[in-house]
Amino acid sequence: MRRLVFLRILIILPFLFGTACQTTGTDQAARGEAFLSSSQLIIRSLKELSFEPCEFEKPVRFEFDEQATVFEEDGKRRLVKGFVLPKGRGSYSVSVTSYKIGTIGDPAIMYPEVRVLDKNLEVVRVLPPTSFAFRTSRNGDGLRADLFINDDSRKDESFVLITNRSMDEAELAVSQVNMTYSTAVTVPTGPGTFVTWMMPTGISMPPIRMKASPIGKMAVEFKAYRVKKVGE
Amino acid sequence: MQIKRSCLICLILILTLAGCATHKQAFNKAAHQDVKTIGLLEPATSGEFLVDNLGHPGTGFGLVGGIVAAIDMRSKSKRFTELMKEREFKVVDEFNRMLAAELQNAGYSVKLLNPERPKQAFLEDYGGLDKDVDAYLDPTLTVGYFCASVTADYIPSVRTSLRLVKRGTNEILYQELIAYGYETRQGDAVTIAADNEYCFKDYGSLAANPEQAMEGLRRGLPLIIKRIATDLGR
Repeated sequence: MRRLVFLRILIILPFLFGTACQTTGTDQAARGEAFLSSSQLIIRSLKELSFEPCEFEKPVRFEFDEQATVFEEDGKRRLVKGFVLPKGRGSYSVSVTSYKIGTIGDPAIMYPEVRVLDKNLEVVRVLPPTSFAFRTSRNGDGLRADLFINDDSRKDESFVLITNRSMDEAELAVSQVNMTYSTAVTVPTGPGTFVTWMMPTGISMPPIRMKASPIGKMAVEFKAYRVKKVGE
Repeated sequence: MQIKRSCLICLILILTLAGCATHKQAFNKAAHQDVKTIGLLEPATSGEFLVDNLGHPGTGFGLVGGIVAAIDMRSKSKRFTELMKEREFKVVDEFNRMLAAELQNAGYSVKLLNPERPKQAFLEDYGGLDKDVDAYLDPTLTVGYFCASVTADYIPSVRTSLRLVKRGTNEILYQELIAYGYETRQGDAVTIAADNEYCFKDYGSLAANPEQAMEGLRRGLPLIIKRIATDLGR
Protein backbone atom coordinates (compact mmCIF):
# COMPACT_ATOMS: atom_id res chain seq x y z
CA MET A 1 0.00 0.00 0.00
CA ARG A 2 2.78 2.40 1.02
CA ARG A 3 4.72 1.42 -2.07
CA LEU A 4 1.71 2.30 -4.22
CA VAL A 5 1.36 5.73 -2.61
CA PHE A 6 5.09 6.32 -3.10
CA LEU A 7 4.79 5.32 -6.76
CA ARG A 8 1.88 7.73 -7.24
CA ILE A 9 3.91 10.57 -5.73
CA LEU A 10 6.87 9.69 -7.97
CA ILE A 11 4.69 9.85 -11.07
CA ILE A 12 2.87 13.07 -10.16
CA LEU A 13 5.93 15.00 -8.95
CA PRO A 14 7.53 15.62 -12.37
CA PHE A 15 4.24 17.09 -13.57
CA LEU A 16 3.95 19.38 -10.60
CA PHE A 17 7.57 20.53 -11.00
CA GLY A 18 7.13 20.79 -14.75
CA THR A 19 4.19 23.10 -14.36
CA ALA A 20 5.68 25.05 -11.45
CA CYS A 21 7.53 27.33 -13.87
CA GLN A 22 4.32 28.20 -15.73
CA THR A 23 2.10 31.03 -14.60
CA THR A 24 -0.80 29.74 -12.56
CA GLY A 25 -4.39 30.49 -13.46
CA THR A 26 -4.73 32.54 -10.28
CA ASP A 27 -1.79 34.72 -11.33
CA GLN A 28 -3.13 35.06 -14.89
CA ALA A 29 -6.54 36.17 -13.61
CA ALA A 30 -4.94 38.64 -11.18
CA ARG A 31 -2.68 40.00 -13.95
CA GLY A 32 -5.71 40.52 -16.18
CA GLU A 33 -7.71 42.28 -13.48
CA ALA A 34 -4.74 44.51 -12.65
CA PHE A 35 -4.29 45.40 -16.30
CA LEU A 36 -7.98 46.22 -16.73
CA SER A 37 -8.09 48.51 -13.72
CA SER A 38 -4.82 50.30 -14.51
CA SER A 39 -5.14 50.65 -18.28
CA GLN A 40 -5.09 54.23 -19.54
CA LEU A 41 -5.85 53.40 -23.15
CA ILE A 42 -9.54 52.69 -23.06
CA ILE A 43 -12.40 53.25 -25.46
CA ARG A 44 -15.88 54.27 -24.33
CA SER A 45 -17.69 53.72 -27.58
CA LEU A 46 -17.51 50.81 -30.01
CA LYS A 47 -17.22 53.41 -32.79
CA GLU A 48 -13.60 53.78 -31.65
CA LEU A 49 -12.94 50.05 -32.12
CA SER A 50 -11.47 48.92 -35.40
CA PHE A 51 -13.30 45.79 -36.56
CA GLU A 52 -11.13 43.35 -38.48
CA PRO A 53 -12.13 41.80 -41.78
CA CYS A 54 -12.53 38.03 -41.59
CA GLU A 55 -10.78 35.41 -43.62
CA PHE A 56 -12.72 32.26 -44.44
CA GLU A 57 -11.51 28.73 -43.64
CA LYS A 58 -8.48 30.01 -41.76
CA PRO A 59 -8.50 30.28 -37.96
CA VAL A 60 -7.48 33.66 -36.56
CA ARG A 61 -5.56 33.19 -33.33
CA PHE A 62 -5.12 36.11 -30.95
CA GLU A 63 -4.55 36.86 -27.31
CA PHE A 64 -6.55 38.93 -24.92
CA ASP A 65 -3.58 40.52 -23.20
CA GLU A 66 -2.04 43.92 -22.48
CA GLN A 67 -2.09 44.72 -26.22
CA ALA A 68 -5.84 44.19 -26.53
CA THR A 69 -8.40 46.98 -26.58
CA VAL A 70 -10.09 47.86 -23.29
CA PHE A 71 -13.71 48.90 -23.58
CA GLU A 72 -15.51 50.65 -20.73
CA GLU A 73 -19.23 50.03 -20.66
CA ASP A 74 -21.62 50.93 -17.82
CA GLY A 75 -18.62 51.57 -15.58
CA LYS A 76 -17.18 48.10 -16.24
CA ARG A 77 -14.02 47.44 -18.19
CA ARG A 78 -13.52 44.48 -20.49
CA LEU A 79 -11.23 43.41 -23.29
CA VAL A 80 -12.81 43.38 -26.73
CA LYS A 81 -12.10 42.26 -30.27
CA GLY A 82 -14.40 42.79 -33.22
CA PHE A 83 -14.80 41.34 -36.71
CA VAL A 84 -16.80 42.44 -39.71
CA LEU A 85 -19.45 39.93 -40.75
CA PRO A 86 -19.27 39.63 -44.52
CA LYS A 87 -22.43 39.81 -46.61
CA GLY A 88 -23.32 37.80 -49.72
CA ARG A 89 -21.42 34.71 -48.60
CA GLY A 90 -24.48 32.52 -48.05
CA SER A 91 -24.74 30.84 -44.67
CA TYR A 92 -21.60 30.51 -42.62
CA SER A 93 -20.45 29.69 -39.12
CA VAL A 94 -18.29 31.67 -36.75
CA SER A 95 -16.51 29.33 -34.38
CA VAL A 96 -15.17 31.00 -31.22
CA THR A 97 -12.72 29.17 -28.94
CA SER A 98 -11.20 30.34 -25.68
CA TYR A 99 -8.26 28.17 -24.62
CA LYS A 100 -7.44 27.03 -21.13
CA ILE A 101 -4.42 28.79 -19.62
CA GLY A 102 -2.50 28.44 -16.34
CA THR A 103 -1.31 25.12 -14.98
CA ILE A 104 -2.82 21.66 -14.60
CA GLY A 105 -3.38 22.22 -10.89
CA ASP A 106 -4.49 25.84 -11.21
CA PRO A 107 -6.16 26.48 -14.57
CA ALA A 108 -7.98 29.58 -15.76
CA ILE A 109 -9.88 30.53 -18.87
CA MET A 110 -11.43 33.59 -20.42
CA TYR A 111 -15.20 33.00 -20.43
CA PRO A 112 -16.29 34.59 -23.67
CA GLU A 113 -19.34 36.64 -24.47
CA VAL A 114 -20.20 36.88 -28.15
CA ARG A 115 -22.44 39.69 -29.37
CA VAL A 116 -23.77 40.24 -32.86
CA LEU A 117 -24.10 43.92 -33.73
CA ASP A 118 -25.97 45.78 -36.43
CA LYS A 119 -24.46 48.47 -38.64
CA ASN A 120 -25.09 51.06 -35.90
CA LEU A 121 -23.16 48.84 -33.46
CA GLU A 122 -26.30 48.05 -31.49
CA VAL A 123 -26.64 44.53 -30.09
CA VAL A 124 -28.86 42.32 -32.28
CA ARG A 125 -28.33 39.14 -30.32
CA VAL A 126 -26.00 37.59 -27.76
CA LEU A 127 -24.86 34.00 -27.99
CA PRO A 128 -26.24 32.21 -24.89
CA PRO A 129 -23.43 31.25 -22.48
CA THR A 130 -24.72 27.64 -22.54
CA SER A 131 -23.69 27.47 -26.20
CA PHE A 132 -20.11 27.16 -25.03
CA ALA A 133 -18.97 23.62 -24.30
CA PHE A 134 -15.61 22.61 -22.86
CA ARG A 135 -13.65 20.48 -25.30
CA THR A 136 -10.44 18.56 -24.96
CA SER A 137 -8.30 17.98 -28.00
CA ARG A 138 -4.69 17.66 -29.00
CA ASN A 139 -4.80 21.25 -30.27
CA GLY A 140 -5.59 22.58 -26.81
CA ASP A 141 -8.48 22.45 -24.38
CA GLY A 142 -11.03 25.19 -24.38
CA LEU A 143 -14.56 26.51 -24.45
CA ARG A 144 -16.02 26.57 -27.94
CA ALA A 145 -19.27 27.65 -29.52
CA ASP A 146 -20.51 28.04 -33.06
CA LEU A 147 -22.58 30.97 -34.21
CA PHE A 148 -24.41 30.78 -37.52
CA ILE A 149 -25.00 33.68 -39.86
CA ASN A 150 -27.69 32.77 -42.37
CA ASP A 151 -28.03 35.15 -45.29
CA ASP A 152 -31.72 34.48 -45.81
CA SER A 153 -32.71 35.13 -42.19
CA ARG A 154 -30.18 37.74 -41.04
CA LYS A 155 -31.66 41.14 -40.43
CA ASP A 156 -28.80 43.50 -40.03
CA GLU A 157 -26.02 41.43 -38.56
CA SER A 158 -22.93 43.38 -39.46
CA PHE A 159 -20.32 42.79 -36.78
CA VAL A 160 -19.36 40.24 -34.15
CA LEU A 161 -17.86 41.39 -30.87
CA ILE A 162 -15.98 39.06 -28.55
CA THR A 163 -15.45 40.03 -24.96
CA ASN A 164 -15.12 38.43 -21.54
CA ARG A 165 -17.93 37.95 -19.09
CA SER A 166 -17.68 37.83 -15.32
CA MET A 167 -18.62 34.58 -13.65
CA ASP A 168 -19.91 33.39 -10.31
CA GLU A 169 -17.90 30.66 -8.64
CA ALA A 170 -20.70 28.12 -9.16
CA GLU A 171 -20.83 28.81 -12.90
CA LEU A 172 -17.16 28.05 -13.54
CA ALA A 173 -16.47 25.20 -15.95
CA VAL A 174 -14.66 22.14 -14.64
CA SER A 175 -11.61 20.59 -16.25
CA GLN A 176 -10.08 17.22 -15.55
CA VAL A 177 -6.83 15.86 -16.88
CA ASN A 178 -6.08 12.17 -17.44
CA MET A 179 -2.80 11.30 -19.10
CA THR A 180 -1.29 8.04 -20.23
CA TYR A 181 2.31 8.03 -21.35
CA SER A 182 5.47 5.91 -21.28
CA THR A 183 8.53 6.29 -19.11
CA ALA A 184 11.84 4.82 -20.21
CA VAL A 185 13.30 2.39 -17.69
CA THR A 186 16.86 1.21 -18.40
CA VAL A 187 17.98 -2.03 -16.78
CA PRO A 188 21.61 -3.33 -16.89
CA THR A 189 21.64 -6.86 -18.27
CA GLY A 190 25.38 -7.51 -18.15
CA PRO A 191 28.74 -5.76 -18.34
CA GLY A 192 28.16 -2.77 -20.61
CA THR A 193 24.78 -3.94 -21.85
CA PHE A 194 21.43 -2.41 -21.06
CA VAL A 195 17.85 -2.97 -21.97
CA THR A 196 15.46 -0.04 -22.14
CA TRP A 197 11.83 -0.74 -21.45
CA MET A 198 9.09 1.79 -22.14
CA MET A 199 6.93 1.47 -19.05
CA PRO A 200 3.33 2.58 -19.66
CA THR A 201 2.03 4.77 -16.91
CA GLY A 202 -0.27 7.73 -16.38
CA ILE A 203 -1.93 10.12 -13.98
CA SER A 204 -5.39 11.45 -13.29
CA MET A 205 -5.80 14.85 -11.70
CA PRO A 206 -8.97 15.60 -9.74
CA PRO A 207 -11.63 17.77 -11.42
CA ILE A 208 -10.96 21.43 -10.87
CA ARG A 209 -12.87 24.61 -11.62
CA MET A 210 -11.19 26.95 -14.10
CA LYS A 211 -10.89 30.47 -12.76
CA ALA A 212 -12.32 33.34 -14.78
CA SER A 213 -9.57 35.39 -16.34
CA PRO A 214 -10.14 38.57 -18.37
CA ILE A 215 -7.03 37.68 -20.40
CA GLY A 216 -6.58 34.53 -22.43
CA LYS A 217 -5.89 32.88 -25.75
CA MET A 218 -8.55 32.84 -28.41
CA ALA A 219 -9.27 31.56 -31.91
CA VAL A 220 -12.03 32.54 -34.31
CA GLU A 221 -12.79 30.70 -37.54
CA PHE A 222 -15.24 31.67 -40.27
CA LYS A 223 -16.44 28.73 -42.36
CA ALA A 224 -18.94 28.41 -45.18
CA TYR A 225 -21.91 26.33 -43.99
CA ARG A 226 -22.01 23.13 -45.95
CA VAL A 227 -23.16 19.90 -44.38
CA LYS A 228 -21.77 16.53 -45.40
CA LYS A 229 -23.90 13.60 -46.44
CA VAL A 230 -23.81 10.08 -45.05
CA GLY A 231 -20.92 8.22 -46.68
CA GLU A 232 -19.24 11.42 -47.88
CA MET B 1 -10.54 -18.33 -28.51
CA GLN B 2 -10.39 -16.26 -25.31
CA ILE B 3 -7.28 -14.44 -26.57
CA LYS B 4 -8.94 -13.70 -29.91
CA ARG B 5 -12.00 -12.33 -28.18
CA SER B 6 -9.89 -10.20 -25.82
CA CYS B 7 -7.95 -8.71 -28.72
CA LEU B 8 -11.21 -7.95 -30.50
CA ILE B 9 -12.64 -6.19 -27.44
CA CYS B 10 -9.41 -4.21 -27.12
CA LEU B 11 -9.62 -3.19 -30.77
CA ILE B 12 -13.27 -2.14 -30.40
CA LEU B 13 -12.36 -0.01 -27.40
CA ILE B 14 -9.50 1.70 -29.23
CA LEU B 15 -11.74 2.41 -32.22
CA THR B 16 -14.49 3.68 -29.94
CA LEU B 17 -12.15 6.03 -28.14
CA ALA B 18 -10.16 7.21 -31.11
CA GLY B 19 -12.49 7.18 -34.03
CA CYS B 20 -16.23 7.37 -34.49
CA ALA B 21 -16.86 11.06 -34.50
CA THR B 22 -13.81 12.84 -35.82
CA HIS B 23 -16.13 14.89 -38.05
CA LYS B 24 -17.97 17.58 -36.13
CA GLN B 25 -21.03 19.46 -37.23
CA ALA B 26 -22.79 22.06 -35.11
CA PHE B 27 -26.55 22.24 -35.62
CA ASN B 28 -27.70 25.30 -37.51
CA LYS B 29 -31.09 25.73 -35.88
CA ALA B 30 -32.28 28.65 -37.97
CA ALA B 31 -31.53 26.86 -41.24
CA HIS B 32 -33.42 23.72 -40.24
CA GLN B 33 -36.69 24.88 -38.76
CA ASP B 34 -38.36 22.18 -40.86
CA VAL B 35 -36.98 19.47 -38.56
CA LYS B 36 -39.91 18.98 -36.20
CA THR B 37 -40.11 15.22 -35.69
CA ILE B 38 -37.01 13.27 -34.77
CA GLY B 39 -36.69 9.51 -35.08
CA LEU B 40 -34.54 8.57 -32.11
CA LEU B 41 -32.65 5.35 -32.81
CA GLU B 42 -31.75 2.94 -30.07
CA PRO B 43 -28.03 3.52 -29.43
CA ALA B 44 -25.36 1.27 -30.91
CA THR B 45 -23.63 -0.35 -27.97
CA SER B 46 -21.71 -3.50 -27.09
CA GLY B 47 -23.99 -4.19 -24.12
CA GLU B 48 -20.88 -4.41 -21.94
CA PHE B 49 -19.71 -2.18 -19.14
CA LEU B 50 -16.06 -1.80 -20.04
CA VAL B 51 -13.25 -1.67 -17.52
CA ASP B 52 -9.93 -0.61 -18.95
CA ASN B 53 -6.52 0.47 -17.79
CA LEU B 54 -5.21 2.60 -20.65
CA GLY B 55 -1.70 2.50 -19.19
CA HIS B 56 -1.68 -1.21 -18.43
CA PRO B 57 1.92 -2.34 -17.75
CA GLY B 58 1.36 -5.37 -19.99
CA THR B 59 1.20 -3.15 -23.05
CA GLY B 60 4.88 -2.36 -22.52
CA PHE B 61 5.85 -5.98 -23.25
CA GLY B 62 5.05 -6.26 -26.92
CA LEU B 63 2.44 -8.59 -28.36
CA VAL B 64 2.46 -11.11 -25.51
CA GLY B 65 2.16 -8.36 -22.90
CA GLY B 66 -0.63 -6.78 -24.93
CA ILE B 67 -2.54 -10.05 -24.99
CA VAL B 68 -2.07 -10.48 -21.23
CA ALA B 69 -3.36 -6.93 -20.71
CA ALA B 70 -6.34 -7.59 -22.99
CA ILE B 71 -7.25 -10.78 -21.12
CA ASP B 72 -6.95 -9.00 -17.78
CA MET B 73 -9.21 -6.16 -18.92
CA ARG B 74 -11.62 -8.55 -20.55
CA SER B 75 -12.12 -10.51 -17.34
CA LYS B 76 -12.56 -7.29 -15.34
CA SER B 77 -15.10 -5.97 -17.86
CA LYS B 78 -16.98 -9.26 -17.74
CA ARG B 79 -17.19 -9.25 -13.94
CA PHE B 80 -18.18 -5.60 -13.82
CA THR B 81 -20.86 -6.15 -16.48
CA GLU B 82 -22.28 -8.97 -14.35
CA LEU B 83 -22.35 -6.65 -11.35
CA MET B 84 -24.25 -4.00 -13.29
CA LYS B 85 -26.67 -6.54 -14.80
CA GLU B 86 -27.38 -8.01 -11.35
CA ARG B 87 -28.54 -4.52 -10.43
CA GLU B 88 -30.65 -4.30 -13.57
CA PHE B 89 -28.85 -1.20 -14.72
CA LYS B 90 -30.28 -0.78 -18.23
CA VAL B 91 -28.17 2.14 -19.31
CA VAL B 92 -29.37 2.16 -22.93
CA ASP B 93 -33.03 2.31 -21.90
CA GLU B 94 -32.35 5.08 -19.38
CA PHE B 95 -30.31 7.04 -21.92
CA ASN B 96 -32.98 6.84 -24.62
CA ARG B 97 -35.87 7.58 -22.28
CA MET B 98 -34.15 10.68 -20.90
CA LEU B 99 -33.01 11.84 -24.32
CA ALA B 100 -36.52 11.49 -25.76
CA ALA B 101 -37.94 13.52 -22.88
CA GLU B 102 -35.34 16.28 -23.26
CA LEU B 103 -35.89 16.49 -27.02
CA GLN B 104 -39.62 16.85 -26.40
CA ASN B 105 -38.88 19.60 -23.87
CA ALA B 106 -36.80 21.27 -26.58
CA GLY B 107 -39.86 21.37 -28.84
CA TYR B 108 -39.50 18.24 -31.00
CA SER B 109 -41.86 15.35 -31.52
CA VAL B 110 -39.96 12.12 -30.96
CA LYS B 111 -40.49 8.62 -32.34
CA LEU B 112 -38.42 5.79 -30.86
CA LEU B 113 -36.94 3.51 -33.50
CA ASN B 114 -35.05 0.27 -33.08
CA PRO B 115 -33.30 -0.56 -36.37
CA GLU B 116 -31.17 -3.61 -37.14
CA ARG B 117 -27.55 -2.65 -36.65
CA PRO B 118 -25.09 -4.70 -38.67
CA LYS B 119 -22.22 -3.03 -36.80
CA GLN B 120 -21.75 -1.36 -33.46
CA ALA B 121 -21.54 2.03 -35.13
CA PHE B 122 -23.63 4.64 -36.93
CA LEU B 123 -26.02 3.22 -39.50
CA GLU B 124 -24.72 3.49 -43.04
CA ASP B 125 -28.14 3.47 -44.64
CA TYR B 126 -31.22 5.19 -43.23
CA GLY B 127 -33.36 4.36 -46.26
CA GLY B 128 -35.70 1.75 -44.84
CA LEU B 129 -36.55 3.53 -41.60
CA ASP B 130 -39.69 5.41 -40.56
CA LYS B 131 -40.94 7.79 -43.25
CA ASP B 132 -42.91 10.03 -40.89
CA VAL B 133 -39.93 11.68 -39.25
CA ASP B 134 -37.93 14.65 -40.50
CA ALA B 135 -34.56 13.43 -39.26
CA TYR B 136 -32.93 10.50 -37.48
CA LEU B 137 -30.85 10.93 -34.35
CA ASP B 138 -28.34 8.08 -34.34
CA PRO B 139 -26.32 7.64 -31.11
CA THR B 140 -23.61 5.22 -30.06
CA LEU B 141 -22.95 4.60 -26.39
CA THR B 142 -19.87 3.35 -24.54
CA VAL B 143 -20.04 2.98 -20.76
CA GLY B 144 -17.55 1.84 -18.15
CA TYR B 145 -14.65 2.78 -15.92
CA PHE B 146 -11.20 3.72 -17.18
CA CYS B 147 -7.90 4.47 -15.48
CA ALA B 148 -4.69 6.00 -16.79
CA SER B 149 -2.27 3.55 -15.11
CA VAL B 150 -1.97 1.06 -12.27
CA THR B 151 -1.46 3.92 -9.85
CA ALA B 152 -4.31 6.12 -11.12
CA ASP B 153 -7.97 6.02 -10.07
CA TYR B 154 -10.70 4.32 -12.05
CA ILE B 155 -12.95 7.12 -13.35
CA PRO B 156 -16.48 6.67 -14.71
CA SER B 157 -16.85 7.09 -18.44
CA VAL B 158 -19.97 7.54 -20.54
CA ARG B 159 -19.28 8.48 -24.13
CA THR B 160 -21.70 9.05 -26.92
CA SER B 161 -21.07 9.96 -30.51
CA LEU B 162 -24.21 10.89 -32.31
CA ARG B 163 -25.45 12.41 -35.49
CA LEU B 164 -28.68 13.89 -36.79
CA VAL B 165 -29.36 12.80 -40.36
CA LYS B 166 -32.04 14.46 -42.45
CA ARG B 167 -34.50 11.98 -43.92
CA GLY B 168 -34.40 11.85 -47.69
CA THR B 169 -31.33 13.98 -48.30
CA ASN B 170 -29.04 12.05 -45.89
CA GLU B 171 -27.43 15.33 -44.85
CA ILE B 172 -25.64 15.21 -41.50
CA LEU B 173 -27.14 18.22 -39.73
CA TYR B 174 -25.39 17.60 -36.42
CA GLN B 175 -22.53 15.38 -35.33
CA GLU B 176 -20.85 15.41 -31.97
CA LEU B 177 -18.82 13.38 -29.49
CA ILE B 178 -19.68 13.97 -25.84
CA ALA B 179 -17.75 12.37 -23.01
CA TYR B 180 -18.54 12.33 -19.32
CA GLY B 181 -15.84 11.38 -16.86
CA TYR B 182 -12.56 9.94 -18.08
CA GLU B 183 -11.08 12.31 -20.61
CA THR B 184 -9.08 10.58 -23.34
CA ARG B 185 -8.08 13.65 -25.38
CA GLN B 186 -9.39 11.91 -28.46
CA GLY B 187 -11.61 13.29 -31.17
CA ASP B 188 -12.14 16.87 -29.98
CA ALA B 189 -14.82 15.71 -27.55
CA VAL B 190 -17.09 17.85 -25.41
CA THR B 191 -15.97 16.78 -21.95
CA ILE B 192 -17.94 16.86 -18.74
CA ALA B 193 -16.02 16.03 -15.57
CA ALA B 194 -17.27 13.39 -13.13
CA ASP B 195 -17.37 14.03 -9.39
CA ASN B 196 -14.42 12.79 -7.39
CA GLU B 197 -16.72 10.72 -5.17
CA TYR B 198 -17.21 8.31 -8.10
CA CYS B 199 -13.51 7.62 -8.58
CA PHE B 200 -12.08 4.34 -7.27
CA LYS B 201 -8.45 3.84 -6.34
CA ASP B 202 -8.25 0.38 -7.92
CA TYR B 203 -10.35 -2.35 -9.49
CA GLY B 204 -10.86 -4.05 -6.12
CA SER B 205 -12.63 -1.06 -4.65
CA LEU B 206 -14.62 -0.55 -7.87
CA ALA B 207 -15.91 -4.12 -7.80
CA ALA B 208 -16.53 -3.93 -4.06
CA ASN B 209 -18.80 -0.87 -4.42
CA PRO B 210 -21.07 -1.65 -7.37
CA GLU B 211 -23.92 0.56 -6.16
CA GLN B 212 -21.63 3.58 -5.97
CA ALA B 213 -20.05 2.65 -9.30
CA MET B 214 -23.47 2.41 -10.93
CA GLU B 215 -24.44 5.79 -9.50
CA GLY B 216 -21.21 7.26 -10.91
CA LEU B 217 -22.23 6.17 -14.41
CA ARG B 218 -25.87 7.12 -13.99
CA ARG B 219 -24.90 10.68 -13.00
CA GLY B 220 -23.39 11.20 -16.43
CA LEU B 221 -26.53 10.49 -18.42
CA PRO B 222 -28.52 13.69 -17.68
CA LEU B 223 -25.37 15.80 -18.11
CA ILE B 224 -24.71 14.39 -21.59
CA ILE B 225 -28.35 14.61 -22.56
CA LYS B 226 -28.60 18.21 -21.41
CA ARG B 227 -25.71 19.03 -23.74
CA ILE B 228 -27.43 17.34 -26.68
CA ALA B 229 -30.70 19.13 -25.95
CA THR B 230 -28.86 22.47 -25.73
CA ASP B 231 -27.15 21.82 -29.06
CA LEU B 232 -30.39 20.87 -30.79
CA GLY B 233 -32.64 23.25 -28.84
CA ARG B 234 -35.00 25.40 -30.86
